[in-house]
Amino acid sequence: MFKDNRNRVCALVVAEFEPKVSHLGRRNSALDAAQHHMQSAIWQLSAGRAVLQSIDAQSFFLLDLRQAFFQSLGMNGWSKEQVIGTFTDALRELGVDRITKAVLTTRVFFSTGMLHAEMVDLMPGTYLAPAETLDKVVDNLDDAYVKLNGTYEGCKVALEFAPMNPQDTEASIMATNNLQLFVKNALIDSRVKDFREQMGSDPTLFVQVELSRDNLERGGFSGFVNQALTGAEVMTDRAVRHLKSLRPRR
Amino acid sequence: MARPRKFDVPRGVDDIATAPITKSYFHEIAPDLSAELIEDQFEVPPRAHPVRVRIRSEVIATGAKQFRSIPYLASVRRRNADVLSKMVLGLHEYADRPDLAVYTYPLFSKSKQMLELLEAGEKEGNARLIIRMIRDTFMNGQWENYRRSDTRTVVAALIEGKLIAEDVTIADAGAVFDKLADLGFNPVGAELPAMEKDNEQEEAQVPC
Repeated sequence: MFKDNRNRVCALVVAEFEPKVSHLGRRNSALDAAQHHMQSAIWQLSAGRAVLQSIDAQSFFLLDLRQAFFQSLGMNGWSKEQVIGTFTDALRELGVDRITKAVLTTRVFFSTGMLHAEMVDLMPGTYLAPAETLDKVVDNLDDAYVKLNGTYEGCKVALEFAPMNPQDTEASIMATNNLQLFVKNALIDSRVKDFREQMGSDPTLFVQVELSRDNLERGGFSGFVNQALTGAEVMTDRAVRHLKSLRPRR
Repeated sequence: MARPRKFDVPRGVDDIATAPITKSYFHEIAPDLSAELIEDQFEVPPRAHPVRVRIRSEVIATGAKQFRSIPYLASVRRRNADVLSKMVLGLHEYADRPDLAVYTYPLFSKSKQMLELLEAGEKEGNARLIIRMIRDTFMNGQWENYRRSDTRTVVAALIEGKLIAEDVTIADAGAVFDKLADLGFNPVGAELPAMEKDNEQEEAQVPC
């Protein structure tokens, strides 16, 4: 699913850890290790945080005293191995042995070929109570936003699901945090605008999957990313298929 | 100082007085295609020169296209097929009752409702063909076949396998026809009366 929608998927990977004074002294070598993987020529350094921007790959890596953070717009410019290498080497150089919380989030603005009203019409009976029950609450269901919390193979999962008209899609993209880090010059760089425009004027199905795991060894982070990325793809696919009343893939 | 005559326009106002007036009307077609009338009237104040009135009427058809897209109708088909499949399996509770026909009626109605829902589907022709074959199994006394557990299992599996799918092909319809025929159904529908002429030919072929 992600492979066919690479321009419609945004990803976020976070590793949170306990801050230590010693991290300050090791930060530069951690950044050096991360830069090797990110192949980033643009970096920003301030007292609290350091950022490596990979403009062409539409991604960046951020390191502060509490977390390491990777974010992308689209999935064209980066690979799972690159993310794992960046985190593993940076955390090792920083002296982080235990990750208090690891999170992987994917957001897809999926094109279903349906109109917004049609997607909303399919929500009762799949994600919501049957229409005849909902009629007791609202006269006409015009829109819906669903959030489900659960687990997937030992990871905590939060799945958010909403049909979106073109205005909603644009508002969601523009509300994404750190958009300024995907462009070289905010006044002339059109990367964010291009990301929005390639989705066209069709309605989209927004599916956000967040998988997280608490308290894991640094060595277990690569396994988490592998598992969570597969899980996010599986859950996104299941979510879309459920709306379309298709059986889950085996 | 001469008083301006009636309709005399002071210098500089001329251009404004002849600026065209535009009225826009939007006709939004709803999915039920119901007819509506837009009636309006407005006054054009007297001017020194003729005034151009521009009427702009736009028909917005997005609403009419709602609930007709190919993926939407395919989803509706799958959702209803899932219900129908479970209804077929649920017949086992009534399989031994003399009034089984009564309990097959909701399945007949469900099939009919599915045909109505999918009527507008430009890619749902093969699915409708299968649903008609399934619907016919609840007619003309053929419901008696549903007393058998293998019939219920096979028909439910056919609905599940062929109608709860991404696409329904003509090959799927052919496969359903064959399976139903194997179960002893007549998927063509009502039996046609035999022609007299055919009977004669048959008789003629029988050796004396």
